[in-house]
Amino acid sequence: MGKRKRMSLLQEIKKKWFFYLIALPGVLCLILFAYLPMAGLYVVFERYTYQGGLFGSEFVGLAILINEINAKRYRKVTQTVMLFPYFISWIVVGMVALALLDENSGLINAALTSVGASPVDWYSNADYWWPIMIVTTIWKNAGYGAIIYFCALTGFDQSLYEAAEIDGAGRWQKIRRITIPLLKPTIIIMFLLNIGGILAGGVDQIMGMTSLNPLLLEKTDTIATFVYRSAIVNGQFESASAITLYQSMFGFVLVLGSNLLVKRFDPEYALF
Amino acid sequence: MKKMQDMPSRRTKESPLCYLITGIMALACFLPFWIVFAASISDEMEIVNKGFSLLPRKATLETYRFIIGQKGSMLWRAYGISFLSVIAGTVYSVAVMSLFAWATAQKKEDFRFANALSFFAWFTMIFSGGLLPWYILCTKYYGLQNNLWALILPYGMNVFYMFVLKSNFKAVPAELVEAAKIDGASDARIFVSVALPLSKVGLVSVILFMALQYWNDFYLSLYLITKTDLYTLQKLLYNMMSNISALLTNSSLQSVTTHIVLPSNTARMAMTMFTVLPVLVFYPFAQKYFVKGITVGAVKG
Repeated sequence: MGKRKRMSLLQEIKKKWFFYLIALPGVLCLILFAYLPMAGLYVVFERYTYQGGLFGSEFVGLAILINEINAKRYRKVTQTVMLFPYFISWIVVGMVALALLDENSGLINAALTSVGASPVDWYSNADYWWPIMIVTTIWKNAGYGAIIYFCALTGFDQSLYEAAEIDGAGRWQKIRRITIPLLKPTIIIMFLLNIGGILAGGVDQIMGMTSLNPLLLEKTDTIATFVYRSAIVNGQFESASAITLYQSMFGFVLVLGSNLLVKRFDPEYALF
Repeated sequence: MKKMQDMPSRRTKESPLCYLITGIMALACFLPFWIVFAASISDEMEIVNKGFSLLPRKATLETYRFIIGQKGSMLWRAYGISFLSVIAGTVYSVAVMSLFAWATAQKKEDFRFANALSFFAWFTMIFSGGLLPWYILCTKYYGLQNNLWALILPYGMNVFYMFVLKSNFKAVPAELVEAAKIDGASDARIFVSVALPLSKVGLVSVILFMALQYWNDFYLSLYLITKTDLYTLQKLLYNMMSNISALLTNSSLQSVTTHIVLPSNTARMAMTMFTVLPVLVFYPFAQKYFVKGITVGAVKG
């Protein structure tokens, strides 16, 4: 089949019309919602500092912990409960946070006052919000991350662990010498997939949790929220489009750069 | 796979510390939802005076009665819009993605552009034009503003899930496709009768993921919807967060009694429960597919 002379494009389309046809809706979607917006980028450039990027592969530890647990029931229940926050929208998380952090009636302030400490004004001091964003991100994604790594873990060749045991390796040594090196490809792929989203990420989190509370903007304004406020709310398109370009270019460079690094360090694991 | 899960070094002693830490983490994931639930069935005045707590304060269904009684039409409408976008959106996006995925899953000699299309999709994962051009195009050129299409169309291609489907399709044995071809099946026939049935697990997990994405989404309603008629449940909840009194007071009861307490704290929590409820109901059933879906996507094909 491979040896046959190449058909002309027209002939091929005639013969393989089905594949062209079924690819079409997807191609259209990509063009409309991904490529045309790219073409729409303006070549204006303005600097805007990014604040609050988030990460992706800190859940390895949790997966290893889960893996150390033998009781199947217990493992299943904890895993199920931990995964649930991943399936909840950020607005719901925002409401949950409100119940905990509300200045007058929040549970955390109640706990603080009951031990004699003074209550904290969470929703009017921007300084608290980086830690809050990071903690809630981890909280929301921990179960998801853990499952990815846990599934990778369970697929490993068990004879490696047996051999290590015979050689007298302890629990910690097995984790360090076998588990982590074997997890490396998964960690790297997750990292590369996440890094491009760093600059774009966070709008739904920030909007859901603070509803763009002006008191907190000092620490919670990201490129995306800035674009939303200036262009969509206030109708100032120019600076917003400049920033969008910056964001896209930076994200692109970030992905290319990190992929290059991975390639140098271990070419097998690069995405491209 | 199933057998292997039980095996990892199960003979070594387990440390109770592992149980403790995972137990605490699971609790940390569960408790916040419990607090929201407890607040939603509490008495508003008690919350105002004493704050939220682990146990409901003066348990009452007053808030739910208030919301359903006073704001019922708004709530059911939002439910309707949300469900409509979930159903239509899931059908549409899974159709678009699975068709595209089958095309890209072909061998090069069967479909010349299989790899090129893969790249075409993958590239949008790492480079995007950003929010603003997307917004301008959607509202000014595609007419996707303040209509139901705006809540559905933009999510047609989720490249990540498309690749999940593609790796599922890749696993369809080539001999089966070959055999169907020899029996005279057309390309369309092979897709419908061979590829789709053999990729059920992947399909179901992608369907669930997309349903969830449409349910939890408030990007689209935030950017493209301003008419209150078209608010989804998430958007309603978002507006309640910053602007609860406006949503609660414009009802008729205000003129009748001025000293009535508007349940603003508990109403937020009750609305949160309304929003989580559908996810909560279908989560136990869907969870095993979620796990499979996540795993397939994470393993490089």
